[in-house]
Amino acid sequence: MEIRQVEDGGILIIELEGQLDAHSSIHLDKVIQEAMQKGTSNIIVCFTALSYISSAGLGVFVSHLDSLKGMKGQFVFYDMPGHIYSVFEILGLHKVVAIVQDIEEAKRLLRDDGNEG
Amino acid sequence: MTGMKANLTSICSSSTQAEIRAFLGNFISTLELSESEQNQIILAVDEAVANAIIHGNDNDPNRSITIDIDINEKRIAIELSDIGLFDEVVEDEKKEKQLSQVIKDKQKGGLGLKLIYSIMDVVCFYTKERKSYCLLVKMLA
Repeated sequence: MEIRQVEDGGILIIELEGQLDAHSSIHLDKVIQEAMQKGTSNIIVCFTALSYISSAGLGVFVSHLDSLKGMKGQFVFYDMPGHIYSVFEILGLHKVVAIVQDIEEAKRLLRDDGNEG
Repeated sequence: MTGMKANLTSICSSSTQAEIRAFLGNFISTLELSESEQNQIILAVDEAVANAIIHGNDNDPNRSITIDIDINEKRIAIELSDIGLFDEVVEDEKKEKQLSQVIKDKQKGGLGLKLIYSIMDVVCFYTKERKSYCLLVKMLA
């Protein structure tokens, strides 16, 4: 699996490509942990090119949800394929993480949430 | 549709899981299921395989697990053998833990069993002649 990351105005944008399973989730966890240690609290994740996600991949995101909230930040996911979204639905994760259509909507959501304080 | 059977033996290493998913996917793709349905079945089996490799067999590449697939027009049955030790009490606790608690506990694990039980119609862990097994069955509409 490939993980591309870029920082944009204090927001970390991660693009996932391939399959996120027990083997590859370790790398993703490291990326997120390092960003949070540097003080990044808003993370946008692009799911366009993600073909598969297992509980290990989901667990990486779940394990950081509360910490990001404590930092007054959050994850925003966008462009999620239908078969990946259905996995989020099974666990109820679609209700606890913002999932939007595109990156502009993701940035707008973070801006609006930031203004609400 | 006539029945199909196949099996695969794999070493206990999480690096082999992609190959196991591809093997299973080749059979699942012949069925009249949506992409989501196919993905969910593969996911449930992958979770059981991960459980067997990581928790049951300590990610030991000197050990192996076998996956037997049996498909007919009524159901898909997948049996994993040599899945190692499993603790029914611990597994039940993991299955029942609420998502909100998993988030609060900052847990990375604990979601795999929820997925297996949510997706498959039959989930059975058992031992026979000193070997341990996991049987997963999905009924087809």
